[in-house]
Amino acid sequence: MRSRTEKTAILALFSALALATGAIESLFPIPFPGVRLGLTNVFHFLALLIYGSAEAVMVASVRLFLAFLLTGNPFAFACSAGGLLCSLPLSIFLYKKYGDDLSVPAISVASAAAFNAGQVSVVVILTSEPSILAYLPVIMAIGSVTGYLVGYIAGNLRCRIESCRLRRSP
Amino acid sequence: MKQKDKVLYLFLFVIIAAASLASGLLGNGGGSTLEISSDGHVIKSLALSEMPSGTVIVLREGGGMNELLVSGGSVRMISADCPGGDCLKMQPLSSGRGVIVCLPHKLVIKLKGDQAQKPDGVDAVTY
Repeated sequence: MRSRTEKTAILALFSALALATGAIESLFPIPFPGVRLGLTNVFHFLALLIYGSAEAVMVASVRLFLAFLLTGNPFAFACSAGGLLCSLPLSIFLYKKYGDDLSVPAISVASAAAFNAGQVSVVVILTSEPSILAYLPVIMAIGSVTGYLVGYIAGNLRCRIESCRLRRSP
Repeated sequence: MKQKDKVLYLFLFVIIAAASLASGLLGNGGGSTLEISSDGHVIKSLALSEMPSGTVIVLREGGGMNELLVSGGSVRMISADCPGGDCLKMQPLSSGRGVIVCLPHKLVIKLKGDQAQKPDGVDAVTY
C-alpha cells in the first residue's frame, strides 16, 4: 500500500499545495513582516502526522526554497526560515514524545508560538530594533488561533487520507 | 482535547500574558509622533499634527527608497523599490497602533507617545 512512488507523489503534492497556499496568502494585507495566516504549515504538519519527522522537514524545506526561488525575496525567506527553525523541532518533539497526551491542534498551537518567536527574532536582528519584541504577544495570540486552525485542518486531512487508503486496499 | 492539552494551553497563556505585561512596561503605547528608525537609530521624529493630509515623506535609507503617505491622521507606505513589497501590504498606522517594517532597507516606522515633544512645538491643535 505504502509504496515509495506513492509516498514521493504525495510529498510532492504536499509541497506544491503548500507553495500554492503561500502564494494565495501573500495577497492579503499583513500586520507585521512575514506574518500570514500560516495555512502553508498544514502541509508539513500533515507530512509529520502521516509519515514522520524526516518527511516533514523535507516538505517544509522544499516549500521554503521554492518560495524563495519564485519570489526572490530573501527577507521573507529569512523570516520563514527563522520560524521553521524553531517550530519544526518543537512539533516533532511534541508529536513523538507527547503524541499520546496532546491533541494535534494543541501541538500545532505550540509550534505556531515557536514559529512566531523565531520569526520576530529574525526581524529584530535584521532591523536592530529590539522594541519590535513588544509586538510578540499580540502576534503570538493571533498565532495561537491560526495554529489551532492549522492543527484542526491537518488532523482532519490525516483522517480523510487514511480512510481513503483503507478503502482502496482490500 | 486530550489530557495534557489544558496544561499546554495554560502554559502558553501564561507566557503570552507575561510577555504582554512586559511589553506594556516598555511603554509602547500609541501617540501622535511619527518615529522613523533606520538600522536601530531614530532618523526622523515628526509630529503628525504638523503634517497636512497628503504629505509624502520620501526616505532614502539602506540603499533604497520608500515613500510614506500621511493622510487623515494615518500613515501608510505607498511605494518601495524592494523586490518583496511587504511593507506596502502592512496595515496603515493610525491612533498609535502597529508598526510598519521594511526589512530590506532596515526601516521601522511607528507612532510614539508625546512625552518627547519639543518644548517649542505646538501644544494642541483644534478645529
